[in-house]
Amino acid sequence: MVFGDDADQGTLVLDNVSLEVRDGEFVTVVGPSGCGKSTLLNLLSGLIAPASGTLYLDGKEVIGASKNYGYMLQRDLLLDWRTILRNVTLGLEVRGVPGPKARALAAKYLQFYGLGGYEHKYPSELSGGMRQRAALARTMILDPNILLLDEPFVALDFQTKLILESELAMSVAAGHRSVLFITHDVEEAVSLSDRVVVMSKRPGRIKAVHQINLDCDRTDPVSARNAPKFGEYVTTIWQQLEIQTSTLDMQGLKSMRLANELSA
Amino acid sequence: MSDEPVGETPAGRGVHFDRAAAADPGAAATLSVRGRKPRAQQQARARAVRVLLTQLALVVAFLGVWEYGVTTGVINAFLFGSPSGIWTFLVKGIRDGSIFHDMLVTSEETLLGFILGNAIGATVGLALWYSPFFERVFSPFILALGSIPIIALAPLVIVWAGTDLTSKVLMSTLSVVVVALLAAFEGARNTDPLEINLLYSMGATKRQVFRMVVVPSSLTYIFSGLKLTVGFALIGAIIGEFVSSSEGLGHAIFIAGNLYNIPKVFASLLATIAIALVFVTVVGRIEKLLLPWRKLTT
Repeated sequence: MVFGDDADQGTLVLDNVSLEVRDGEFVTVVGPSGCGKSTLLNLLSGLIAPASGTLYLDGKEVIGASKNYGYMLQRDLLLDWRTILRNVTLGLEVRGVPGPKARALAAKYLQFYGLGGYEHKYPSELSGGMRQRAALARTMILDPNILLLDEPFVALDFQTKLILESELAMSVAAGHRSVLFITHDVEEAVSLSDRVVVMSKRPGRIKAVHQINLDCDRTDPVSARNAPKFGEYVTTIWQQLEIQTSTLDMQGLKSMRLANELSA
Repeated sequence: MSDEPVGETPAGRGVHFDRAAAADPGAAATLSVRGRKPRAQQQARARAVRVLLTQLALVVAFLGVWEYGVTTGVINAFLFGSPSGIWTFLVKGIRDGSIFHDMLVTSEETLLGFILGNAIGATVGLALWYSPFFERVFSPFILALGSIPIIALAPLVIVWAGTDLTSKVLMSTLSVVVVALLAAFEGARNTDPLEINLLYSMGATKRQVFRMVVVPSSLTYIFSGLKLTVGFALIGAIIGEFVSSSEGLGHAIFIAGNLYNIPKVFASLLATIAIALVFVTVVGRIEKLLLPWRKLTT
């Protein structure tokens, strides 16, 4: 697929990206910031149209992923004016599920995701981790067979992130869902995925694809991180990302400090 | 919280505990963290009282200087009136009921204009979100209508709608509608595009997106429009009464002004302010009732 604005030259964002997610597969795309990861996801969800290229679902050409895909972003997008329960029933209401039935199901999901007792709170009363967990419940209640996730856990602290990663992995495994996960966090990518796709700087191209075999319980992000081959994958992918650790001039810093000491 | 007897205070429980206990003996058995809340509330109440007292002092000082100036002849009572003169007219108006009658007439015009103007404005403003085509078509007309000084329309409105209630309501509606429309449209336009995308990702139709996201997220804008348009509705009604009428506060002010009855003008002005305050308070109450999540974020 190619995405770019022809009228405005030099904004080619994605160049010749070809990506396939198999049934029940967890694929993660990692890449430096600005490489077009989010653009890729928006193309797949049908929110924007590619300049050229096509999208296939179950062998059929489609415009967006489908009417049944789960969509989670860095922001939880909980609606301020709805209680947590009514945020979770949102998708069911869209589909015309009768109110009492939708609420009963939502209450069950909230219980499962550890939000029992928070049904009638408003989003502004919850912490960031709880809000994102409510967003996960809102996504999973629709039983999507495709999940498009754009850095959903990036704003959370490390512990909450691990817990939510694990909850996501369990939800995915239980429902046999296909996942396209976008992140810049290499460890997160390796611990969760069947396959990791590495993208280059803008215009985004696919640089490498890694099949991940960790031989451990993949719903436990801690045991995945302790798997023997984990470090190896992470190191290789880091190298391929070619992230410069620092552009600061060490010698320059030292001489500045010296000047400070002299003037003091 | 515990059944520990009051007064048996173990030492070293923290500063907050002791202070709270000193201020409120009933709280002695509660924990130190709980002791902070009543203290904060007390401080807030004390601050509110201080503000109120200062406001009262300002009003009393202002009226005192005014009255003093009139009695010593520094201020011309004929041109500026006096607080005691205003008071006399207020009491007289209340006794014979004329001030209540005028207030009722003006309130009715204002209320009808306020409701009509906001209903039409909010509906059209939200509907413009629905169709970008109509938004482009109508926006210059809306801006043109908004830039007309409302008083310039009064003669036309009187000619078309007569001199009774209808013309005042129409004046009031006209002075409200554009502001209400712009507030609602601004609200609709500021709907978070990601929230809209989320609804589309669930398979929502445009109508569902409108009903479930655009309208509720515009409500805060619509309510600030409501508060803003209370004043405009009142202005419209009073201007209508100025131009042609036989009753209402605008009529009373107009007649009293022409007769140089300055205290009566001020008395009617006070009644007008009272109407505006009641309206704003009621709108605020309704907002709290309809938008319960708002109080949590502010």
